[in-house]
Amino acid sequence: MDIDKRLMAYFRELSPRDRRLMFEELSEEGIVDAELKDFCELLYRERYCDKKDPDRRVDNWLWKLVYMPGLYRKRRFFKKALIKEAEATLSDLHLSDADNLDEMQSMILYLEFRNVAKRYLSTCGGANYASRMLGLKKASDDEKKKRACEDIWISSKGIATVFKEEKRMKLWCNALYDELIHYDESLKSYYEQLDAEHGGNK
Amino acid sequence: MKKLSSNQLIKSNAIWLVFLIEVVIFAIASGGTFVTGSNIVNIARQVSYYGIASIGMTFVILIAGIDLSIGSIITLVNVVCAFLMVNAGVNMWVAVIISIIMATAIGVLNGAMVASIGIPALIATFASQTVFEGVAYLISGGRPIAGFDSNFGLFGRWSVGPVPICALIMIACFAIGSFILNKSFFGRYFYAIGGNEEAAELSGIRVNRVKYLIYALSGLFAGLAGIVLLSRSGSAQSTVGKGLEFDVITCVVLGGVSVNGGVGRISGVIAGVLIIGSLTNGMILMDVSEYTQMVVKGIVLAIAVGIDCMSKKRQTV
Repeated sequence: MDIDKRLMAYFRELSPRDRRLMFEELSEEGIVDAELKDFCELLYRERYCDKKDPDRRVDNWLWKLVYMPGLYRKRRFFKKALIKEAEATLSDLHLSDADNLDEMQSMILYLEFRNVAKRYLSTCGGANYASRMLGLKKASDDEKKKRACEDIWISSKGIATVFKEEKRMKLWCNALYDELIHYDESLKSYYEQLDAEHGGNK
Repeated sequence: MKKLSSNQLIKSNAIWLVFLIEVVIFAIASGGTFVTGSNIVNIARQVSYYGIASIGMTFVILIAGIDLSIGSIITLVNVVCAFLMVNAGVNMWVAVIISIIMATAIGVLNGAMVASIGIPALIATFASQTVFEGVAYLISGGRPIAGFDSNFGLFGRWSVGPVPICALIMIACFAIGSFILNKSFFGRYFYAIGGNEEAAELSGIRVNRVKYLIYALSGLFAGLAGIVLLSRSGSAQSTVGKGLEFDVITCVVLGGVSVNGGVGRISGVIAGVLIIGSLTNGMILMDVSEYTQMVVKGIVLAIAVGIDCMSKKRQTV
């Protein structure tokens, strides 16, 4: 499926506000049709709007990615509650009914997931990211990249394996993996190493 | 959901295995004295105050912070509560509430220094440790304060059947701590901030507010620990909490809470508290000198942090 360059730029932009403006322009110029527009707007609302406090800036999908390592590490405990929570997460990310999405919707969802991963990875170069010993020992660039790879692996393949949701989470896993490789191609081998060592929940 | 392999089960419960081995060693070495009912009750009393304080420290370390002031908060709570009851004639309950509010306020102050001003947690809490240790000395004049209402023994000396009330308070605090970490949104925020603070902020978490809350909780639990300790000892001294923060940090890190933030759980901390409590009690039974005990505890802390760092180097997955 071919995606217009400007629409693609919308999916690569990280600032929610700029994305809003870009999308309005695309809609006005007729680059997105009505069906696509509705779906993109639905995703935008679900991702950036806080129902309780409309003025608050949130990224609900980034939160899912941020919190997934927590779910992964708690997998040994509170199993029933975690399964319920994982199910809710899949539903929020439109993955519980992934089979019912058409080709266009799947592509849009994939690109939106990549945007989430891109936004997450944009935080992985910060001074405090992956620091050790109560933040006293700063991480090197290489350590930061490895840690970013671990986070992405846990939030995609790791969590999918633990909850046996590889099929429904395929789109999410592919998007996160592709964005990670786009971020740094050299991380491919480390990702594969993590997969080999922990992919079967060994 | 995938079931855990036996290897994973052993790994995740290794800390309890260490505790069991320790109990067996001390039981044999003490000729059975270590595992008598009265000694177990004694251990429960001994661990109760740093068990309570360790909950707040767990939250703080989870966000890759540290609170070095809890020893001096415990000291100050001891001195202020005793001063209010003995010197000012304040009702016991009012004195307890004022002391705990004061401890929480010190926690908020630590939170302000760390979150709003941006002072590294190590420096900020070290500064408040020094300040409040001095304040405690100024209030007490370096002299012990004793002669409380006999009902004040409720928190540290009384028992329900064979179970000391202070142990029940500790269990209740652990239950609250576990609830906060596992069942509340705040717990998720703690893990998220410890894992990737910037991403947590972008996803909508008010990181500074959460930090205030965490340091306030640390102060609150330290205050509660101070009350239990005061009730148990029956007299307030301006040096009572000196070095306590290191015992508490050892319990927390030994319990698997990573000094790198984002990883840890309350059940591990309970094991850490029991290990340190048993170690202290066992060494007292073996007639090991206080200075040797300090050496041993220091080595345990170094080993716990070392293992944490090495495991982090190998893998965080």
